[in-house]
Amino acid sequence: MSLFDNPGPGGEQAFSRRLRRFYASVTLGFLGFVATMVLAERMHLPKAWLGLACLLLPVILYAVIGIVSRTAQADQYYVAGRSVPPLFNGLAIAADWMSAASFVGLVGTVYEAGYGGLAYVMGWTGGFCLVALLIAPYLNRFGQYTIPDFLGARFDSHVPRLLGAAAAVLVSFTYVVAQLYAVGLITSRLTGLGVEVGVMVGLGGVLMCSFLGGMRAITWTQVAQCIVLLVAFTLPVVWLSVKQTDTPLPHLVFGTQLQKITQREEEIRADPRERAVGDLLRRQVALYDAKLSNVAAALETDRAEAQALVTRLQAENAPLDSYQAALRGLTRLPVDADEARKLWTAARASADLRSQPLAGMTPHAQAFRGDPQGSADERTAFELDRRNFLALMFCLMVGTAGMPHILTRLYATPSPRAARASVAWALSFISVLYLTVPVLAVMIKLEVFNALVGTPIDRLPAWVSSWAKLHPGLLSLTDLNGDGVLQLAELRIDSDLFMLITPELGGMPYAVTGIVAAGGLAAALSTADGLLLTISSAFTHDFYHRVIAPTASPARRVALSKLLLLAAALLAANLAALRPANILFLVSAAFSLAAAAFFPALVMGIFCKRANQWGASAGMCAGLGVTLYYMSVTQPWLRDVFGVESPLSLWWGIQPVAAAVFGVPVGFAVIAVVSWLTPAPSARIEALVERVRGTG
Amino acid sequence: MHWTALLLVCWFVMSFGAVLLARVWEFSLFGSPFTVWIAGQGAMLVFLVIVWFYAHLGDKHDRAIAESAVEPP
Repeated sequence: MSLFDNPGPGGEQAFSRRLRRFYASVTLGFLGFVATMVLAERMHLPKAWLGLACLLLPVILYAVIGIVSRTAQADQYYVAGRSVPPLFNGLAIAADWMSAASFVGLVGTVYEAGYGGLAYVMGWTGGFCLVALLIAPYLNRFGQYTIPDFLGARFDSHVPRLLGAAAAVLVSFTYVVAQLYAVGLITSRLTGLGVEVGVMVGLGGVLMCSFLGGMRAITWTQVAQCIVLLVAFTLPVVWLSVKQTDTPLPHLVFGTQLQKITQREEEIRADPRERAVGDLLRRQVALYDAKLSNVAAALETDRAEAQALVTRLQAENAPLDSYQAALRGLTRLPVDADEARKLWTAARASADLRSQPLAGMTPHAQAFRGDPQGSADERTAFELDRRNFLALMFCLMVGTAGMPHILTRLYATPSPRAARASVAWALSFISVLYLTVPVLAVMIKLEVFNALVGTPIDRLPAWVSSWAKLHPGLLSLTDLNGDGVLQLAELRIDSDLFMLITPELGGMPYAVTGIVAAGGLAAALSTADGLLLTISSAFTHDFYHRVIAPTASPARRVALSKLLLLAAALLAANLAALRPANILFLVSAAFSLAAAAFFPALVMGIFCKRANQWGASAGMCAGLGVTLYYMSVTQPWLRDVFGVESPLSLWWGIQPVAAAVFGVPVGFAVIAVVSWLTPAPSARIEALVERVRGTG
Repeated sequence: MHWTALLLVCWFVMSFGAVLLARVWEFSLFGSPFTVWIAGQGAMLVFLVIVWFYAHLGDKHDRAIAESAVEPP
């Protein structure tokens, strides 16, 4: 009998004990691996080897667990045999949950937005209260395979089931594209391969687990991945904390570090050199404004100037490198007016942001921009910022309670009691990372303000210039005022980069960078696994098995599911290689969609007996429709895709990521009104609701 | 059921309430601005308490039902 087989009634305790022993040794093994890597670096092992080892060895571990626990039985494939003990289901939910956006993107967002970034921290943890209180025990008591299963049975119709399946595919697909893109970023950082190749390598890692063994294999690899990612996140934080404050628990010194930042922010604001750089940036903005007022003519002038320079240097027989530089300048000009407009608009926005005090960042300890007691402009800025914070937090919380790949996990425990406990365990593990993120952001900011800003550019640490050379799009610095010293506004770091540069920023060995990358990879892979399985089961289970071919054999369904999983993964990888939008936007958009599509129908289905199939179908369509509509008329990239020409106008100033703030109430209202106008559900359905609620 | 409602109220106050009043509660706690501490750590600790407490309550409730099923009143 394999390690991962539950022996059934009476054997649960021995099963749990066996699992605990196994994963304790995985944890110790990984800690040993970390120590070995640091030692190997001391012994001058080449960095390329270290990077490769950090990338490959954990993936081999996941693959071995995946292969050992492979399965072709439907019950095991879709819900891991409903026998996962709560502690381990909690770890698996946490791994499903903590994606590349949490691991790689969040720290940078909090660094840049200060209090504003905490909307993600609160939203992504507070959502679990909704899952635990409103959904977990009921869904577990229902006990089927997927979320559309619940909608189909509760509303006694194929329409909500198919709508649910379609929405699950849409949500999960948006989310998985972001994960695969992050995998590409991380592998390319460690191996020097292109992002596209990195995406394909990561894809191999994902498929190794989910392709072979469905939910069962994913669960047991995710437990290992959760351990890896938590260790990898904690290691650099503790290291940095000991370096800055001499305590290994940074949470306790959050306040003192924040005070230091506030003090340093005031110095930077008052620094005349920062102001000089601000003036120069404002001049750049004016220059771009002039260019943008007549793009075609400005591009013509630029091209003529560049051409003239090349011709002059050629005639003068100038040194080869300056001639080549001029030639590069000419070839890098935008090809047409459209591209020029996009490039210059982006450059203008970046210069405009950095020309403001503190390079456009709100003071870290201040909640919201503007001032509720200030001028009219300040009051509007405050009001808008607060409203968007609340709206985003709402979407993330409600989206959590509608995320199909998380909710499916609630079927994988043996009882409602275990389902409640596993949500509590999940939030506990998630909090290890989320409690640390705000503290880490503060420590990184302090490090940037003290070690980089105000330092002569030729004395900056070596990693800064190596990043700037390798990935100028992610990190760049220009000495605008020519004083040879770095000012805050002269430095630009992409927000997805902060977690990856934390080890270098804190002066840690290269091995720690490798471990952090391994953690990011574990986060992205574990989430992608769960999402791909949700996509493929929406097709095979909800669409094929329940609607088209109810008599198809389980083996056939599992085989079909594997095939579809492969297709979905390849399609997502192709899209990810196109680099569609930033990671955090894609992920947040997926949450808005999940919130609008599932939350109203699930909650009404559980708590309101009167809700019927007509109401649910109309409500899901209306909620999802409003959300999709608002996103596609307000989000720049989507406007481009759908060719929306009308002028951009926001409803009450709400940003496109928080579109579900309109979709969710519309969904609830439509379900209530339509259900009330149409016949009540049958007695059989009422009995089902009572059973699910545990009152029947 | 009324416990669920009470816990939901706690959740709402700690998240939406705390954010709405962020600029009103501008005092220091443990050396850090209270609102920033709430948003970054305090709210999450309360969420944890809510979820664990609910799991505990649910267990008690289930046990009570199981006992009353064995011995009908």
